[in-house]
Amino acid sequence: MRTEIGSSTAGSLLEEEISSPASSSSTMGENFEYEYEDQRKKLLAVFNRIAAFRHLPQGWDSYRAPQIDFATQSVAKRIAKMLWLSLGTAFLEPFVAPCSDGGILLEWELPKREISVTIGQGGTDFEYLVSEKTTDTIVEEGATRNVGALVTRILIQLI
Amino acid sequence: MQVQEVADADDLYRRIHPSQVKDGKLTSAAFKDLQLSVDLARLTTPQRSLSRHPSHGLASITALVARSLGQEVIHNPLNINPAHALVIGNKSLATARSLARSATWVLLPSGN
Amino acid sequence: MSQSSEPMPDFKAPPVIEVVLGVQFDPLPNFLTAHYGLFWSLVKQEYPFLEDRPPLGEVFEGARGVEPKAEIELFDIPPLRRVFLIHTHKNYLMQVQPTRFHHNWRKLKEGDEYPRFGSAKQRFIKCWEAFQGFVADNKLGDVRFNQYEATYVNHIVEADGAFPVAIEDYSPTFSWKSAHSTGFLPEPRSLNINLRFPLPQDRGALHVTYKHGKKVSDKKDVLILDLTARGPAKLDGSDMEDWFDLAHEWIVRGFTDLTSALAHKRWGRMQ
Repeated sequence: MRTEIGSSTAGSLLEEEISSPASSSSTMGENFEYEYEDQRKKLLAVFNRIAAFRHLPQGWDSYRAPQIDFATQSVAKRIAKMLWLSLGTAFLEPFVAPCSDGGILLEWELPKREISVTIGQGGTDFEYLVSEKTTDTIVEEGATRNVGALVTRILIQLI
Repeated sequence: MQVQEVADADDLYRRIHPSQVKDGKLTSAAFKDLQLSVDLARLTTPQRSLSRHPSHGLASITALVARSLGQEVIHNPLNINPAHALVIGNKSLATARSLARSATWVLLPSGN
Repeated sequence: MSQSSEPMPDFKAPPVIEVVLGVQFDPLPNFLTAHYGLFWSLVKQEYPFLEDRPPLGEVFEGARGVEPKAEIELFDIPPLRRVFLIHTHKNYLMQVQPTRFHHNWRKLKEGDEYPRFGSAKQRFIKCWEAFQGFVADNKLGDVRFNQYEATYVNHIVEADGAFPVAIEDYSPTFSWKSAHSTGFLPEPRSLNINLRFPLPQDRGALHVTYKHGKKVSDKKDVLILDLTARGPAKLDGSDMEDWFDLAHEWIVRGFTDLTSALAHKRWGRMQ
């Protein structure tokens, strides 16, 4: 069943958990390792993979693929960070790939399910898809222009 | 070259960038394009399709599968590539995924 | 105006290691990369060192908590970075970007003494006025304030492995003894607590965060107690000093309220 998600976001509790209350203008955090350092490194690894797409030239897929623009990269990173802030130690590193239409694909492998998300070129249109691994059937799919709504759908699967 | 009919049974070659491969498997990223460029397999060879792109892989789908997903498949010969064809149509994530799932490897990308 | 008739708590040796005062404003429309260098040329005698950092996102204190900016911004070029302008003695620094200005005091080594709020606020205002003057002189745009922020970061050091269970010695907020009534769970290995207290008259909120970490330098266990007050600003910034006084009171009284009498003794509470 494909759904279109409107502008109102579901899951107000999850939205509150997404926000980061403490000040990030502190400089002392750089001197510490936290229990969730591994998770921070995972987020950095995702950021680095996305950032590497800036080196892909026009036609990188050997056809007419446009470059993966900064806005698309920026939104993909934002989605990853929102998930990281919400999930903490439960954060799962996604597979990240550039799409031939200039978008970015993020995919998570769970024991029984696979979650796929595309960020369209320009970073404004998103699609998501959840499939059962054993039967390879799609159990949920949808499209939205709202980052919060998209992250909520992903979190529902990941939690 | 004259434009030819593309039969349902025709194989279509698509070059695959290594970054679009996950654990040796094709992903929807490689098939997300409104006008997806392919080569009509019977008018070329895998080596010719991959010439000038040695690090890419080569995957094959059938015109039947593409059409069953609501796509139009037409031969679109170019001067530099008479085998060139297009799979035209809006490709949702689900459609691109189905194309990836139905595709088979002809040649894996180097390093995979 | 003070919220309480009780004298403000004061400590001889508080565990504070960083104090940050800052303002957030609407993006300065004419601020370009070159302006970092131009501003630095005005202050480099006192702040000679520079470091680059990623920019901080704009953050707004809403009714239910921190809210990021509502819409996704699309950029043709990447946003400008944040720049640290660091004092000769390195304990002080300014943070500059087209939407924020912060001034930090930080304890870098044993013996560095917390300069007290009055002095920290004075320094912030002096540096802010220098920046504001620079913005006006170079016609970078009108400064339209939208948020104020004040942060105190405290580090409480203990023997290796003591935290997070030992938090109850310093702060009754979490007590492991009371938490595991049936004795099934082993001692926790990490801790992360976030509390939010609304400030009076819709002036924002006080966020209190407990985090447990290890110092990179010597691997000592540290409980990090971060108190950040954040709230809306008048467009012209006319309520700034008053807001910082309120924030300071809530941070100090809040810190005192949340920490134990035993801890107060260790830190030499005078008032």
